[in-house]
Amino acid sequence: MQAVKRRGWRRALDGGLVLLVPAIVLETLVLFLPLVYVAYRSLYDWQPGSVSTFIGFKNYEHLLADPEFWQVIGNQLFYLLGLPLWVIAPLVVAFALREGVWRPGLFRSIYFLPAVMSPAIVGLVFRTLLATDGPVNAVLETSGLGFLAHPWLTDITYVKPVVIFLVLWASFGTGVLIFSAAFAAVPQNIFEAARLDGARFWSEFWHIAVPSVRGTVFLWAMFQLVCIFLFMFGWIYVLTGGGPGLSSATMDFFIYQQFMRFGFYGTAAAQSIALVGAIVLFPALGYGARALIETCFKRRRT
Amino acid sequence: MTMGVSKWLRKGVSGVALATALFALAACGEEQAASDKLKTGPIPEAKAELTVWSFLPGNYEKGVEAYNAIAADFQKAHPQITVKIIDMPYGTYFDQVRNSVVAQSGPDVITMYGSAQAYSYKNGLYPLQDAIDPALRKEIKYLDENYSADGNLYILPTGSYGYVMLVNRAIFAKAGIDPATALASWDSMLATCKALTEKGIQPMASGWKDGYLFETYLYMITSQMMDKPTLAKWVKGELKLDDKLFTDAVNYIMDMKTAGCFGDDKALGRNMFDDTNVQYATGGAAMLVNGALSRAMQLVKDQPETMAMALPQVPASKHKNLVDAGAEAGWGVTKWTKSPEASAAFVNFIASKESQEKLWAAIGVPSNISGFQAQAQNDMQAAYLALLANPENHTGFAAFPLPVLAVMERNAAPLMGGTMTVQQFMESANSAFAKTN
Amino acid sequence: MSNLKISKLHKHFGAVDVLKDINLDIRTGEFVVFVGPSGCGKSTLLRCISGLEAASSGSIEIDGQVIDDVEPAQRGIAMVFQNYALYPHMDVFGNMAFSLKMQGLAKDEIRRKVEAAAEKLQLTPYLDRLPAQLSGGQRQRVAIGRAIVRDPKVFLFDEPLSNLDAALRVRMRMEIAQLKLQLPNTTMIYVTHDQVEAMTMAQRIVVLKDGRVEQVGTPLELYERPQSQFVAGFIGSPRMNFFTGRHAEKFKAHTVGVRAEHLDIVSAGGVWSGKVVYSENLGADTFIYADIGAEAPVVVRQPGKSVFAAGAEIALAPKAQEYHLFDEAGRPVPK
Repeated sequence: MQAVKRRGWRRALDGGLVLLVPAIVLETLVLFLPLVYVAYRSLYDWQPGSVSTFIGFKNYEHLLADPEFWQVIGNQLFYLLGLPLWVIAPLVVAFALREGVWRPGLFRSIYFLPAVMSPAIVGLVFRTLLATDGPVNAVLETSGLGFLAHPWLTDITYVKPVVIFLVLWASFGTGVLIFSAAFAAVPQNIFEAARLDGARFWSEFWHIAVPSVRGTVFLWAMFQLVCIFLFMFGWIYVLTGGGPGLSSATMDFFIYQQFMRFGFYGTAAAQSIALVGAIVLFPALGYGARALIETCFKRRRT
Repeated sequence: MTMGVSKWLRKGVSGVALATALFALAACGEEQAASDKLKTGPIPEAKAELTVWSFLPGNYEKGVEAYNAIAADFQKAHPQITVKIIDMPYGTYFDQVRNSVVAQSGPDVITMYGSAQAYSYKNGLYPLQDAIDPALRKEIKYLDENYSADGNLYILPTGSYGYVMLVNRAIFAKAGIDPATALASWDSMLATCKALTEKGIQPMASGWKDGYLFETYLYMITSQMMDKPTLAKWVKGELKLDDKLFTDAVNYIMDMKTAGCFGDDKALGRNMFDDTNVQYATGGAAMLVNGALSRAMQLVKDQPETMAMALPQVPASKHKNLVDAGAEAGWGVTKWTKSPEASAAFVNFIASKESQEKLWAAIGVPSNISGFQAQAQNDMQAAYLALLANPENHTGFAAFPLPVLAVMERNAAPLMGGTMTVQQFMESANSAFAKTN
Repeated sequence: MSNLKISKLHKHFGAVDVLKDINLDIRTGEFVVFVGPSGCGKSTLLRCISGLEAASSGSIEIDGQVIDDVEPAQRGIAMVFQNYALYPHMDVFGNMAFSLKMQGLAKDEIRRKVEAAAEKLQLTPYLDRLPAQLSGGQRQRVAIGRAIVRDPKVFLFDEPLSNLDAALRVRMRMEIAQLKLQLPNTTMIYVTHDQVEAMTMAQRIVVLKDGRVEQVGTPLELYERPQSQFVAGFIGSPRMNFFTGRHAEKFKAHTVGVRAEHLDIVSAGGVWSGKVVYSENLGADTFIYADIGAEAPVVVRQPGKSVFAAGAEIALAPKAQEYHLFDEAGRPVPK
């Protein structure tokens, strides 16, 4: 038994694992080691270039006692509300475009364009468009829709939903592309069968299309989930600077501010570890939820 | 470190390697507490290059040429040194400096604000109080308020600015109000704001989104409310932000808001420099807060009837006619410089009377050399320089810690928009202040 | 009632004409097979009837009602696809129940109908399995079951057996034939490229070629009176022998067609003569391939176990009147 096991292990090493070694080494060097280092430094009053003192979990205690930290966590949870939109919108469009459109190349270029543009540039464009004196409000006012003009990025009520929509705009093209690829792998005549069975657009979408690509849907949702915690910085930095107040700040932006702007290195390290925790926790909850749903589903059928 | 990793893969014992790696990392991150005293004296004969980072050249149309000319002068005096001035955008400047401090490598000399702001980068900067040429020390202004709370002076301040009100006399004339009497006292200013608003004129160009304008009013008013000993306490960190003085200052700003000085809520979505300048330049407001003389000169081109006046003193002012004024910025020497003597010589050189006079001639920055006299070329320059020459002038700006400023900046719009009370605003700022001590 | 009438139907994809002027009358309860080589347009015609494809011009009527603008699901049509097109994430019950659910039927009625159909198709034990857990034949039956529950007027099969192995295909052929018997009033249209399936299952066959109807008729009509050289060659196995040039001179026609089973090996008075190339003994019959100097060998079908060594000289003659004459364009010429 032992021998067999070892042979399996050796085979894995000779086969796939060997090919993974460069990736593992790189990831370790640029990702895991710095992470471990940050974890280690989060236990210090970290002073790069000077003397750091070990202070145990003080940084974490301060963090947990800081109402600003909890406000930022609250913002993150609010952004999570965008998740269904970020998943369903590209899914619906990919589904609608499934049967082909006029000039598909042009269409793809248009909706994929935001995905290849840097968030900083897109952010700048939208910051200009949505400014109080910006073109969007100007158009609304000159067309007699002045009551719809809002300080989009500087009002506590609007800023988070606006950010959610802008992130939708940016991630939409990639989502459509991924879901289009997923739909392309589904035999087309199950959709035809559904049409013959009397499914209309939405019933076909919910009963046939979504279950057919549910693996991809879940994967995309998890990817977006991680993005909410990991890749919002560019948007927030350019669009709102975390404001008004702290109302649009994300954890990554908050960490940036603590570290780069204020030089609170130790607190920033502790927050980074909290962020890593969130990035592990939320997708884990996602996987847990899926497992739960699937077991319930199976039980119901039998 | 690479050895550690390969060993880990070969043996498959992750624990040992992780410990090794951690140790290696900890070792390379181990701080050598660098000598805390900048070496001065004659510059060694060996060829060396000084890299200087600054956001100042980009502030002026001919700024790059002007600062390069200073560098060329320095090179003439010290042929073994090459000075490379790198003009950096303001928006990312402080992040670049922060990276440099964390990495303990980068430029030899940097532009930096003093006091609490420089203190935030103290792990990368040499104290300069003992490196200043004694002759220069005697004639340079705004030195005391640029000391940090630890008793060190991390920058050598140069140039000067003063926050004044630019007043569009054409608009005042149309409204039938004499600006001289309008800004004669705090109460008359508030009354003027009401009068202008009633005539459909926005009194002051305003934008709260980035929070800078709010801070500027706060500097202008707190400077009025501090006498020299109070300012010294504030700079040393002995006066805390929870002092009544600061809350009173915020309330003065709220009085201006109540009087209608700032116009409607659209100001919540506007920024200080770009948006308010445009507002004033296009005749959208009767007054504008302005710090740099060079910018005032620009605005005169758009609104020729522009005149510079002091913000009236608040009732609690300790002064007669103080303008919130200080050094434009300053120059620091980094702890990792390979040419400490040359760096020390360079910061003294750029702060010298001669260099500053050249900058005045080239780009119109008034110097911070006491007794600075300049031939004013027009009414605006004359008025501005007269306001700057007031010996009462000072500022506590640099002693506001960065996190406090960040909190005030982001809370400015909520405060001015009415979603945050003065009390909440001050509590938030105070908790940031507490974290810095 | 489920009469299907197709008039002047055209379909083109871009510049390519796929169907040209199709006119067909299919009566209630008929089992009609569309047959033809690949690319002849038979599947497209089926898809036009189902509504999955819109005709470019012309019209389709069911029981006198034009259905061109009727949604596929409202046409009273069910379709069985070549690769079954089962919903992979639904169990057998779910697959069969889906159309009923879409109709908004009550739960117990759905259950009743699905169970009845499952009973008919011996699928009852598999109702809670996913398609991936079924064999090819079982999946085929689920696809049929999914069609049956809807109680359609017209039943469309798009090459339903081509994914099955030979033995299973014969069995399923029989099952479909039995299904037809159980549903005497349901019109069935079956598309295949396999003329054996066509001959064995159809009441009427529609032969399509290059987007046109080549001939419509019962299997025997097509076999005995092909209206073109193409139909003559397409229907029947082995393929009809065609003699041209000097081999057709004696009949004063461009082409003479004789089926393998209608050729006699004669000792004297043969029309054609040549050498045996190869012979296949199938037990009941023997196929003899002879080279008479034409492009392709001539195939002769002889009952019993005749033995002809390769290289043997033989002479051939058609049975009396059992031959067909065609002109240059492939049109039949009266004898």
